[in-house]
Amino acid sequence: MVAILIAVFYFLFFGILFGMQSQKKLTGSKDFFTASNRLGWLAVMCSFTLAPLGGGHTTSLIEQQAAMGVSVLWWGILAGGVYVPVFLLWFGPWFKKLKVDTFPQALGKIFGPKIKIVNTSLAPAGWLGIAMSETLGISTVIYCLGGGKIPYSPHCVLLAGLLNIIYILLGGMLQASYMNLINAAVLILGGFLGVIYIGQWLPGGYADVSTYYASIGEAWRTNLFHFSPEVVFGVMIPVVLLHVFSVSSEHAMYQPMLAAKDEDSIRKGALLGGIINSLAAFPWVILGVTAMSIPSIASSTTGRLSVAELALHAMPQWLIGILMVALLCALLSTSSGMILAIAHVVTDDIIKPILGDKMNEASHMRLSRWMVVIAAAAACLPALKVTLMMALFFWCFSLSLPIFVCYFLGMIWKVNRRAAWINLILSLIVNFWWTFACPSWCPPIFRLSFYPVFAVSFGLGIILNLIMPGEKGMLRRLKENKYMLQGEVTL
Amino acid sequence: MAVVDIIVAAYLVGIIVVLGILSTIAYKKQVERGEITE
Repeated sequence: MVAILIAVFYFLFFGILFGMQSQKKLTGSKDFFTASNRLGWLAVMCSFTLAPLGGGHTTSLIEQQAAMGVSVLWWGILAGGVYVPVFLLWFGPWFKKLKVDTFPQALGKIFGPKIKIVNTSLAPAGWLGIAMSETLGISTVIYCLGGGKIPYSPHCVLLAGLLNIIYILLGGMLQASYMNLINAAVLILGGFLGVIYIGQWLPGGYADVSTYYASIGEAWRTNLFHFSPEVVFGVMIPVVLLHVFSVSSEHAMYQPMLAAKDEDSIRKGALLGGIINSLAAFPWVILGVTAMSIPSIASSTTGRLSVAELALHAMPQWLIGILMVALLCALLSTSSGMILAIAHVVTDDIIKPILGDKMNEASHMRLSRWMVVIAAAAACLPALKVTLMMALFFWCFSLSLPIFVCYFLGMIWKVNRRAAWINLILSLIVNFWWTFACPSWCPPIFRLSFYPVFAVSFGLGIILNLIMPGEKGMLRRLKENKYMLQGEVTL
Repeated sequence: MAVVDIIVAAYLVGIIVVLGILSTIAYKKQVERGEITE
């Protein structure tokens, strides 16, 4: 129980401390969601780097390493090496140029206000599905921390929901950015502290792990460059497609951009952010592969619980606590980011436009906080009954994918409203078809819904924009407007 | 697909429908007030 006390104390202490500090600095209700252009590059980098770094980098890889070995690390390597730099160097600054407050508003600025209806109804449900999945991960960690003594449902699930709320309730985005600054350090240091300890604990160090796998004819498990079809089509291609074209439409990624002082503050963290994002995945895979090389652990557990079993088997309670805090840092940063994004979009893009002038500063702030609580509760509700939702997890990602493809093409190439509408509707139909009634002729490696959704969305986007007339891409128009304004100033 | 997945999917689809209705009302209200053009 020492481990769970360490974890709960850590998040309660820093949650309340940073919550009260950030609450004092809020100058208006708009600050709650955007921290209004006050974050420097380090805070922006930490907040953004931790936003997409959740169960995908940690618990999911712990599970997958049992089948694919250390080559699952390509998930973290490519997320940090491709997605983080691409977003911080281009996508983030593009969004900042549009001078909007939410991603649906950005889409509305390009394709007209009616298309916001699609984004504000589909995307938050997808983000909620991801928050649910992360909440399940948090509940499992709490369950393991308590050695199985705390009932999973409802106690662990409700505690997970409470931690989500504590992360952001008082200070919103500013509080999350403070939390993420310290959590980025704890995530890396805590994870690698566990790796160093186990290296010392193994009689022959990590050479024992390689020797064991070589002796049973499975040396590929410790080979990072084991590019099997499962690794290429199940890890490497999905991580790039999902991050660049789906995660990029999640409003949680843009909240740190809204909070950034300027475009330079966004770009500066591209390299370091990528390294942190990649490194965060390593400890969990190393510990998982090590656990499965110890016959007494491998025979009594699955890949999913391998790291927890190894920790309980070999580590002192204080180190289990630190390791689990590191894991919770990853999961909570993502789930609370999603919850804050849902609350922001529902408050500012749905309820605020309905109420109009009836909403003042105080009621906006009150509503914002209530929306955080409601979104956290909505993420907890299914978690009380479900313990795993992998198929739906990809369905949720695929809901956002066509939205970003339309946005991307509208930014860099051409704007045609009808093409965007056709694309969104057909891609949505394909997503439902592939998720709930996948055709029998589909090869197993393409059964995940984002493959056909990406192909249909990108293919349609290019074909429709080639054959239909449209306006210039948004970036070109922004550039021309800038030169026009500069010309007026010169005159 | 497991039954629990179908139930969670129905839950999320229900949320999509509710948000869709509210978003449509928000859009119409903004058009009425002249904040945006249809």
